[in-house]
Amino acid sequence: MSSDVTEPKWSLRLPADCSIAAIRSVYDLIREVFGRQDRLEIDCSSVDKADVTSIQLLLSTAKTGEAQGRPVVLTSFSQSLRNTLRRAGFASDAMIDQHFPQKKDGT
Amino acid sequence: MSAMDPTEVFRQEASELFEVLEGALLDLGQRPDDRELVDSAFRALHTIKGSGAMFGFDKVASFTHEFETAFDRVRKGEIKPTQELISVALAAKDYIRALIEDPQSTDDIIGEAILDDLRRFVSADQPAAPAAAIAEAPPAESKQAGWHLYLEFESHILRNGSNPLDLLEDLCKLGPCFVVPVTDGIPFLDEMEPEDCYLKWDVKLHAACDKDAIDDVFMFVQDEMKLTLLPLAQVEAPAPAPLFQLLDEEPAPMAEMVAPVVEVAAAPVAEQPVAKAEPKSEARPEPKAEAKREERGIATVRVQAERLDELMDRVGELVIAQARLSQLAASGSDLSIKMIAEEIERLASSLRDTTMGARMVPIGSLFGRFRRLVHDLSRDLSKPVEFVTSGEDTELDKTMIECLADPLVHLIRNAIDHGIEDTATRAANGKTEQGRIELAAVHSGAQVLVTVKDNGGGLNTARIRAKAEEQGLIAAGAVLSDHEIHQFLFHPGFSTAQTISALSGRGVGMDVVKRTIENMRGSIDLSTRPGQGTTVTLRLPLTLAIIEGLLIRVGEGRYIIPLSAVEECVELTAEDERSRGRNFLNVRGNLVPFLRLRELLTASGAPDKHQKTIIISTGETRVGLVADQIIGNHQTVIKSLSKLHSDVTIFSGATILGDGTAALILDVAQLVTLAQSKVEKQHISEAA
Repeated sequence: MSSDVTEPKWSLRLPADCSIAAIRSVYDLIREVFGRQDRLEIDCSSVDKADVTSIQLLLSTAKTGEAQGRPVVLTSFSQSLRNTLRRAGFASDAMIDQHFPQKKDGT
Repeated sequence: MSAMDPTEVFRQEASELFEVLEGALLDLGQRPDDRELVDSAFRALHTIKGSGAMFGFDKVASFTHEFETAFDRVRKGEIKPTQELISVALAAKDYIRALIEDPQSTDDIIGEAILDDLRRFVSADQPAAPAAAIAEAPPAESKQAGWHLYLEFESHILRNGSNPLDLLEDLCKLGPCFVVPVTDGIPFLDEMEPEDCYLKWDVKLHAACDKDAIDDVFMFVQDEMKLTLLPLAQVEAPAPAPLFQLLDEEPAPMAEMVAPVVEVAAAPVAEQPVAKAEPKSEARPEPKAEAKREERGIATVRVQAERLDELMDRVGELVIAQARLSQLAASGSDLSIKMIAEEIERLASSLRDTTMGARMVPIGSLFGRFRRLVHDLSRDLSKPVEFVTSGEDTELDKTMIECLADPLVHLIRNAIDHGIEDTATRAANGKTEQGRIELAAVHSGAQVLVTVKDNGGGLNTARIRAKAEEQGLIAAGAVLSDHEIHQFLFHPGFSTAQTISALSGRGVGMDVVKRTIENMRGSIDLSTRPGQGTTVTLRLPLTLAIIEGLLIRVGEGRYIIPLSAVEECVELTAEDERSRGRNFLNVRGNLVPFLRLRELLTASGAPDKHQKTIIISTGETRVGLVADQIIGNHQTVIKSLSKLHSDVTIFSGATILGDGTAALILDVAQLVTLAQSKVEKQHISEAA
């Protein structure tokens, strides 16, 4: 088993709708995938609808991963998700990095 | 079980909000200075608007927005809500309701006309004084260089459609804002409810605005959040460290922000307020209130009415099956079966009570509707009327509540149109100009008494009698008590009104009211005092689904009498038997007319040697029913009779007994009427 988190089997691409209307299914999806693996890479490039619940779910996933020693990496924040984060007060990139462990594209 | 259609959920919620809105608007007419009422009306409007937009009711959202905007001056306290303004606001509420419930019936032109009226009333009532006062007023003491806020929302707030991010945006419109999200409440994945709100915010607002301006931003969610608010100038102590230790970078310049609605800054630690340490949290709710809200959040579940009906049907079937089991067990000798049968009986009885309890609805939900009726009638008839309700917490089966609405509308209309005099007459009689209608509900044993009382002129007994004679209902000069004369008001087509109005006077109404109440196995009674008013009393059973009944046998047939109507059971004595032809019992010195059910129901076979008499009563009237045997109490699941039996008036339904056979349920009110008419005929024949 490869330890490279960039491999697709570690990666989970979030759906377009991560708002409260669909957050339960996103939550179930993350739990299911996270339950099967030691690490997780979450691709946020497709997120089109985000709100407080999406932010909380990502924060919780990162917190859980950190507490259990299982790396969680977020990649490719969509513009919509980034806007929502800024509206919630995560205004600077550094602050986003602080709360959401990211793997920058191309790095 | 199918999930509820989300738009149907919205319609139901909107319906409740309309009641709140209407109640607040009507109360505002009485207490125009009550800020809480204005806020309550605005909260309802705002929720309708927000939810309407969320569920795709765009017209509702846009019209409600205009309504809010036009009514904003009332909210700001710049103008007082006049009666005219309240009337237009009520019309606007009706229009929004129509937009939701029956959009086809609405017309944009009507909506625009209502909004124009609203705007006209709002702008017409522009007292110069408040404007001048505002201009001349010294700066408010509460104005500060800025404010430090700590926002913590209740966990369910996101499910209600509220969006804290929108509130933060609104806050930032007041001035430069520095928003820091507080993430320490975020749980681990396994402990998370994804729709709950865990984020909190620490905000510094650098604007010399009033506290009211901040309260306005949160007014619609103030019951669902903790808002700690401190003037920035008063803040000296250092902030709790964890809040800002997360920040290690200066805020991004505004120009760099993609959506620069909320500005964020890592303010120096020295400037941080001790928001939580200070007890001056003006908006922080009392722990008790908080606990109450939490309790409210989990204490109720919305259930479709059909499901409750379905559940009641199932319980009814269970009760019937249990009765069969009990009968089988009783006829056998197996002790263990008997024990199980008793256990099932106990559980079925308990389940029946619980299910019936779940169907109970406070009658206040019905009373609220009549406030608008009284308001509109009072205006249309130019009769100022005070409407007082009591006993709103009294609970009735939901089906009863639905059936009760129309009769009460009739009674209240009658009370205002015919009962309450015009102001001139009242003044001439030394009464206050404002009439009074009291609507009350109270439990009385297994019944609920609902009364409609007015302080008008009372019934004109002479006129009712004259009309009854004119219509040939009684012979001229016949001796009748006032109570008997008043009963003619329930006769079809009977009206003493000299003029027919849009509201009443056609003689259609009171008979329908009586029939409806009797169909609910209730009774109606009138009492009046000349010059002082009239009271109509409705006696209603608690439920229509399952009743406690008295099972009797007449000949070969078995019948049920509702236990709530039974006063006592006595044996028919030989002396009573000898009075054959007169049909009166002597019950402790009182003569009570009785009906022989064997004759009435044409029973076959020889009568039992010792006949029993069941004394029943409705209102003030008592009647004896003579039967062959009293079998005992019976939990009666009521089944409707078919349309083929609609002309059989003395039965109100049927039930299935333990052995699978059917028993008819006797309609007590009809039996009493039958007994009365027999007595009257006897009087007439004796007089002849």
